[in-house]
Amino acid sequence: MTLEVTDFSARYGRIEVCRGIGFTVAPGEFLVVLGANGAGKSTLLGALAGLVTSTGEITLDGTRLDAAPARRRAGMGVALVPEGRRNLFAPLTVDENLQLGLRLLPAGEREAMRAELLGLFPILAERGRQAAGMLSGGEQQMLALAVALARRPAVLLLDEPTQGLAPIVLDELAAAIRRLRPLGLALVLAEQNVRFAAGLADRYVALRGGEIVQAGGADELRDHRFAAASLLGAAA
Amino acid sequence: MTFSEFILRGVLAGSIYVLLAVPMSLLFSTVRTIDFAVGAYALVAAAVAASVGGVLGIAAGLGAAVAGSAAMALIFLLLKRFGCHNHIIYALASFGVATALASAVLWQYGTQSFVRDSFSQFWSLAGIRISPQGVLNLVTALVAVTILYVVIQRSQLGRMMRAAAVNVMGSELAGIPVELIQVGTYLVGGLLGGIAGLLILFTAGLDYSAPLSLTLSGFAAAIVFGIDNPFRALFGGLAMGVAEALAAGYTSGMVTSMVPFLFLLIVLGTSRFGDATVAGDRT
Repeated sequence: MTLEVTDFSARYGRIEVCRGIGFTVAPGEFLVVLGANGAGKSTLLGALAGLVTSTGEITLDGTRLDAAPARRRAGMGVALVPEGRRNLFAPLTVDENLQLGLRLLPAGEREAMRAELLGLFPILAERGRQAAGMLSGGEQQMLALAVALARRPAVLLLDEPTQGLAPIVLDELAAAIRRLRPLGLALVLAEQNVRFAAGLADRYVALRGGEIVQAGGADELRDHRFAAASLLGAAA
Repeated sequence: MTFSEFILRGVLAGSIYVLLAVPMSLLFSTVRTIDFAVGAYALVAAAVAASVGGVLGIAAGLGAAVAGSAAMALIFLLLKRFGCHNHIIYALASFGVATALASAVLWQYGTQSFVRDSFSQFWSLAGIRISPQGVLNLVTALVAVTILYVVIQRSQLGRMMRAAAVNVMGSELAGIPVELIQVGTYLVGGLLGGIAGLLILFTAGLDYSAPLSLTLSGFAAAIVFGIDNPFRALFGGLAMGVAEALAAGYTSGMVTSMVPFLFLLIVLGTSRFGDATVAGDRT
């Protein structure tokens, strides 16, 4: 399904954090939203998921989502993995977290989906009875992805998955995200680690002060000096 | 009476506290607030059951208690809708509901005591006389806690309740109906409070002034081993029943009435209230 965002703004109370945002993400396409701290990336993704007040249009293959609360958007095909893996339930086991993710699927499809997820993230099969809060950061990120994917979303919003992870885990995480491509998801990845994002993106948009200041193809991101200077205003 | 007799009687009496403590703990785990109207639900159930009589009276009493908790749940929802997310306000609102329910009973039935005879004969266990009603109370409490345990630990509904308790935002993102679960928890509180009221009706009886002391006893039992776990409230309730029985046996009635307050003092003094740490929580 194609995600289309038009003239989209998000606000906390009277403070408008993002404004005039517009982009389209086709099925199977990975769009990276780049920006420094405070650029509005997390607010944008939170608003797309229904957690933050917003105006403007969000459509999924033409169906309007913007009036629906977060809980209903979850059922309409939008999944968010927030910063810090806050979609996980720390005291519940890995299996229980997965079961909660699977509950929006028809009962007959759950076991097959569970097997598919454990195929995508094999480490979770070994951790089934362990509390989610006891996993390492990298394992938690895999579980957070699996929980979000469990209901077969059409759109996956991934907010700074590299945050708090050791550099050695990042390659493993990037490989896990690449494995999602055949699922045909429209993926929106908010990131400030340009090197990580460049390895995954098809296209990018750069946010500064809550507005899109630049957009382009993945090739531009692979020139790190260009990316650091023009996108983040800092070393990447 | 012997020490073992006091212990046994305490356990039987404590089962009522279990039924009052478990819903308080359950609500705290799910909504992070306290429903201080639990004692009032017990009074309403007993008053309605006594006035209607028979099996119909029992059903009507339970229905009235659940209706009382539904009123509290409605107030909770309205407060949330108007932007109040302060859990202390929810707890204070429950005091208001408790007062309103007790006043309604006083207005409708006056100051009469609600008490009904149950079993005329007693059983003997190792030379100790025990009331069949006391055993029924204990069995009822154990069955209620067992059902609750199975639902919370083994069912999808229980997983959703535990999820909503620890991570509201994550629950919304997972499509879990958080508000519905919170309202349901209030209603379960009304049902368990109502069952406690019916058991008291057939045990010692109660009048319009009972809700406050029942609520305090339930609250003390709920927090003594940690309010975050409804199953610990089982042991809290039984411990308080035993403490009261021993106090009644070896000291004066005044000390007995102080037992709930002593429990509260111990918990508050050792800072155990709201100790919500989760082992291994690294997120």
